[in-house]
Amino acid sequence: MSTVAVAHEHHAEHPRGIWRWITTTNHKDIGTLYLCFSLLMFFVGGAFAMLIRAELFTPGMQLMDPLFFNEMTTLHGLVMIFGAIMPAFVGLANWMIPMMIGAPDMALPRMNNWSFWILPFAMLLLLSTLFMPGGAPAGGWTMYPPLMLQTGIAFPFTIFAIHLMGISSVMGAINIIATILNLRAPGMSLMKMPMFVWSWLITAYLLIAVMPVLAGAVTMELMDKYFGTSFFNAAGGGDPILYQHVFWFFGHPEVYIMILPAFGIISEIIPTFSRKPLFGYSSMVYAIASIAFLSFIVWAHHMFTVGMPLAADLFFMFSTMLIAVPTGVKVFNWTATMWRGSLSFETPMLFAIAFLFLFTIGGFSGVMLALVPADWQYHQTYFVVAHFHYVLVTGAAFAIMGGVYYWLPKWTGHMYNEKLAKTHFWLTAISANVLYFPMHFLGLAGMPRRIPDYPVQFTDLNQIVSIGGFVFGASQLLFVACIILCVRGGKKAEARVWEGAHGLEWTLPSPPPYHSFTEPPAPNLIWAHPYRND
Amino acid sequence: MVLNKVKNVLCGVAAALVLISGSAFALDLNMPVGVTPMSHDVYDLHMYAFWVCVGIGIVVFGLMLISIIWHRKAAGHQPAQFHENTAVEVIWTVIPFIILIALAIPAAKILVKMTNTSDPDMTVKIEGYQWKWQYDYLQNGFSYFSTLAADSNAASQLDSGINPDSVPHYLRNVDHPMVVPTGKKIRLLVTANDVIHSWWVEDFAVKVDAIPGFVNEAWIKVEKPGTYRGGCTELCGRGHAFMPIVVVAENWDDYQKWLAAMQASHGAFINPATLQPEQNGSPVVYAPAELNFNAPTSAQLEPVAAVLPAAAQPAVPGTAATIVKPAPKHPAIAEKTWTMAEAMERGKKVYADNCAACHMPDGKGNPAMGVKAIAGGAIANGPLAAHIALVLHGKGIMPAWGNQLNDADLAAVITFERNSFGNHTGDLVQPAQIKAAR
Amino acid sequence: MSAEAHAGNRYYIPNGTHWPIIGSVGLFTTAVGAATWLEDMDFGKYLFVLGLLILFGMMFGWFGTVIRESLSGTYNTQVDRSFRWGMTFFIFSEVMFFGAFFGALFYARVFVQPWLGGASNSLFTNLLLWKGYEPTWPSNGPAGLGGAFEAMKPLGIPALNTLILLSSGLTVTLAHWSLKEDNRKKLIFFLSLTVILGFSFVVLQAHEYIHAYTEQNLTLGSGIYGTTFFMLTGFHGLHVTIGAIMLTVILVRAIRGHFTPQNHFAFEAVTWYWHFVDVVWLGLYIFVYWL
Ligand code: HEA
Ligand code: HEA
Ligand code: HEC
Ligand code: CUA
Ligand SMILES: [Cu+2]
Repeated sequence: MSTVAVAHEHHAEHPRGIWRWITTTNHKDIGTLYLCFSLLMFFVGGAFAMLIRAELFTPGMQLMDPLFFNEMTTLHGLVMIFGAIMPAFVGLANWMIPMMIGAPDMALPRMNNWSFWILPFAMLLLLSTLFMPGGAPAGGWTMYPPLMLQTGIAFPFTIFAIHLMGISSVMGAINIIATILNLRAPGMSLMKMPMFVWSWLITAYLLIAVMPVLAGAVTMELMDKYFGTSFFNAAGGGDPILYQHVFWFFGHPEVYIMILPAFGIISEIIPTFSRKPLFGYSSMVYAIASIAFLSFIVWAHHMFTVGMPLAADLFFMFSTMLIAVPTGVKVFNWTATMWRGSLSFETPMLFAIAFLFLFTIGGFSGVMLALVPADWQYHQTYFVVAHFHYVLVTGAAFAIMGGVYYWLPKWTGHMYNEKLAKTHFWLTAISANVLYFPMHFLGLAGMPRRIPDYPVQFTDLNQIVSIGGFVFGASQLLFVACIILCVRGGKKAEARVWEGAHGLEWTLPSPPPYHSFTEPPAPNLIWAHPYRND
Repeated sequence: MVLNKVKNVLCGVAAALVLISGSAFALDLNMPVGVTPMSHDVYDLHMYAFWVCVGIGIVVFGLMLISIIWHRKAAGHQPAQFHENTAVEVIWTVIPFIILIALAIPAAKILVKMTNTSDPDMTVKIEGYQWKWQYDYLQNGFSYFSTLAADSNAASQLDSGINPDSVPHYLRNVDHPMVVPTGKKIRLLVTANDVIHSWWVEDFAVKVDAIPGFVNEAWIKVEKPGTYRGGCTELCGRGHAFMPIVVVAENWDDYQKWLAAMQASHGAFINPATLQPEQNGSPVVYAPAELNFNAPTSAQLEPVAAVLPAAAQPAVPGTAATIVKPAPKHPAIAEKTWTMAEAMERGKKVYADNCAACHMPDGKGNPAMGVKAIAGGAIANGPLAAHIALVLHGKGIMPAWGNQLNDADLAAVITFERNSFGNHTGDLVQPAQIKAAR
Repeated sequence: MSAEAHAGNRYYIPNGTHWPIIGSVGLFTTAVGAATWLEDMDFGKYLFVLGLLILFGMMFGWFGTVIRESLSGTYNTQVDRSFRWGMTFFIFSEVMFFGAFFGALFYARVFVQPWLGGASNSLFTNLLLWKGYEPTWPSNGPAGLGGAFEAMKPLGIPALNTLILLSSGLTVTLAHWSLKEDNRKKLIFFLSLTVILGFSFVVLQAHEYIHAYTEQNLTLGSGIYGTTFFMLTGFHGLHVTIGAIMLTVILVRAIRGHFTPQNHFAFEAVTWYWHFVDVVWLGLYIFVYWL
């Protein structure tokens, strides 16, 4: 390694101000852009959710037209998924992967910039529909035809917004794969990579495999609406259900796209605060790979009521249930990592522990949903809404929040305010359960989802849910406060921020230099076995 | 410490919420056991899966909690350094697998039962429309629409000022319920006219998507007489929350009486409780059955005429198939001649039942949905022929009413539209004009 | 234009670049243009064209920068490998995009047609809604949308096109070999041949479309057959066009003396793409024209 390059230091050349952010090719800058963007979108999507919860506070229509309610539901789902959760994970990947694998930057830095800068434009397209005659799309985030084809002017804008988000995701994923496969420091074999890197490698494969399929699905809708094709029209020999197959071939892997990086983050946090190596590294890797593989053959569990032949129902039921096995392996391995460790409960660990409990609850309801006869009762009720908010909010979003607290000192060079952060955690964790747990009961008692008004017997539970929602929403202001305070100052953070932290990113100073590793790290910094101290 | 105080307060709030939730619910928090053999099976499966999850949860969460409580740094616990153990990994791969098999087997069994729609005693076709249901008693030759009850509809308007609590069965009541006999296997043929809907009555454990261009099958066998309520469960646009399902189950004799009355009613819906005709909503439409719907195999599902003359059909004992009665497609009321006052009165009703969902009770339309205004609208104040044509044939989201309403009602509602909401064309439309325009 | 790159022996870290933001504005403009155009607003088509122009400008500038850097020897093998991974996965994403449409074709033929005809658990679909419909392929559905049409035949133009694309795959490989032998004359010859073959394919395809619309009454509106036929071959044709343009660029560069036997990633990327387009065509020929 003695022939390693002279690192050019061109820092003086960096443009300043907004132009720096627009033209940057630096993985940290771009990571920051992604994270800020996703936080903004979390608030936008959250604001829509607040309107939903406000309308559902009591029966009867108080605030909006039913159609506008549907627009809110649709945009809430789309914005949260494509604007908040996915970009947040990409942002974390941008920040952390080069540092974790000992690289100076991403493999394709210019394209990295483009991946990000498409996103604001895509969201602009999507959100601009709110101001169009006829309003925003109102067909649900799943955009099923023929209903979606009834959308007005908003329709093509929505479709093209999806296309742009797809292009952005695919480019981001290509970059991540190229980085991981190509820029690892000498000595870091695949099976020595940190779990977060592994989870993203596999997520990126998923993204490249399914985002184009989504693009295909919405393109077919576009053609049906404007060019007289018959993909989804039985009269011409098509089938509305065809859309659902194509959509969920994307959609189910998509939900794992939103959880695998979360698994990665949790696999970083838990060993650190347990001061103990991750249990079962290789089985964790295989588990992620199996989940990813299985995710391609379970899609029709979202369509058990569409009248598929019995054999298809059975196949998709069994394959779906199988996913519980590798996911269980992960949960058990995390538990075993904590087992007989030396646990401390800083905010990242609190979020990780909450993740363990609450994601598992979401997984349990997932397995219940997989049972076809039972799903005929649960389907399209608040039971499903409860399921997916447990896995998405107390799963994915909690992991993101935990990850942000975990790495914030590394990024900014300052410790965040632990007290404030813990307050944020407790408020968030408790209100999330007040918000989502009663939804199970609502669903079982018969409340369908995507309705702006409901029979009066659901009032009490809905009020509790709404109150939980408002508290949850308000608590997120603390999150922002924590971040802003931490960026502006605070106790200096050391290089190894957390006592139990291991990995290349902790060998760099906090904040790390502009180009993370201009020279590959010394091989002895890479563990003989990851998460092992020997 | 501040933090602890916050924690205490929060715990207090949470506890209070739990208490409130515990006491304040008249509502059952669990899935109902229901009134069909399937709903019992599904309930059992649901509870079984639930307890399995609880069991696993106790073990997994228990282990986590033990770690969290005992293996704390603050408690001075020193970290162990183990990080692998093939034996336990195999164990916790195999055990969940076995548990899943134990779940999958009963689920598969129930599923097979649920999808077996063969050998029914009778067949009803259900068609979803934006935003109402149509029940077609194929073997009895009549069909009718079922829309949200008027009082619910009024109360559900934005800022209606009507307290939903004061409306009986708010959003769970319709003008014309579906009526079925108890103790019979009823095959449901579910489809849709415009977008996808889904027909769900929780007490029957039937949820089946209504897909335009395709017919899905399900079956029910209701054990107890009663009124069962549900609603559309697939997002179908603005009125998705407002297309409830009400099924009245009656014993066989009462059901027969209702059937007979329906067939003799000449277009009015017969209230199954009072057996009196009701003139609300859209009328009953008659059409003779074309197929022998009880036949179990496809070969026998040839058109009735091709197999046997209708009269000579072997009557499946105790079924409704025996009382097939051909009737004119449009009832006698279509031959009527309206006076202005009559037409306006009837038209107002038809408008409220069918049109107000989109065009709004005040006729102002719904720009958000692209629904044009009737009040001052170009068509409603323009040439009559264009008005009739548009209402008959529809346009985009605007349904084609020609196949949903009879001539008399169409004439009435068009008359109403042309003379209300500030429109003063003075036109009186007669059913004959509609007939001619069809 | 001054995005000069830092390069060590190991890592390549370019400076800031303004091309992506221009590209994003281009995409945005194109999307808004297309959307408004579809909704019958007159300015739509101008916006759309403007957006495309911005995009072309962006590509011109961006690729130009990359080419300059490449020629000046800024890139090392690691960068080369990153580009390779990038192209590989880009093509993989394209495969999945086509996969969606092939999937639609299979689903429509294997499942939907029989169901409309009453197979499986769809007896009543046929009896109640589409009585008398006998599933066939090609089909424009039980309602016969678009009216009677004449289906495509595998012989004639499609067979010729198959031949053309297959030979173009051969010629592009020959060009590659020539490049590796450092025989520029041969390289330019075979590359030109490939470009000609590529554009002939497009021309023949266009001819076939015109024929379909004017003589065979086969249109996008001809039910599911017309739909899948035009969508699959259309997207393929679009890709051939893009590929042929890329080949032309490569040709011009080859004429200008770019590429060395060792260093010619751009050339290879285009060949990969071309082979991909070729393989898709084989799938199309078999499943759309033949079976
Ligand atoms: C991050 C996102 C995420 C994740 C991880 C999951 C995970 C799972 N989901 Fe979920 N799901 C969604 C997001 C997600 N889902 C969304 C967004 C929807 C709704 C979309 C829409 O309609 O809008 C949905 C809907 C949905 C449905 C359709 C419901 C319906 O509409 O009728 C089904 C049905 O099978 C399902 C199943 C599952 C299963 C089996 C898992 C499994 O992966 C869970 C596995 C985990 C565990 C089981 C817990 C841990 C395991 C153990 C402790 C081992 C032992 C356990 C057992 C043996 C049981 N999901
Ligand atoms: C991907 C992640 C994600 C996240 C994070 C959330 C977060 C939330 N969701 Fe989400 N939700 C989905 C994904 C997500 N959701 C999806 C995919 C659907 C299905 C859509 C469909 O059916 O098509 C859905 C549907 C859905 C429904 C069902 C709607 C319906 O069926 O009609 C509801 C109802 O309560 C709901 C509520 C909430 C709430 C209250 C939050 C909260 O957690 C949000 C909290 C955040 C904020 C509130 C923002 C931050 C704070 C402020 C803006 C400050 C100001 C606020 C106050 C002072 C109160 N969501
Ligand atoms: C599902 C929603 C819906 C329902 C229910 C509905 N309409 Fe409409 N209607 C529309 C839409 C949308 C338009 C606008 C059509 C267009 O011009 O594109 C419309 C247009 C009209 C117009 C023309 C208005 C104008 O001036 O352009 C008339 C008249 C009309 N409807 C009458 C009726 C009548 C009568 C009924 C009930 C029997 C009814 N509509 C029920 C959606 C509906
Ligand atoms: Cu009909 Cu929802
Ligand atoms: Cu899924």
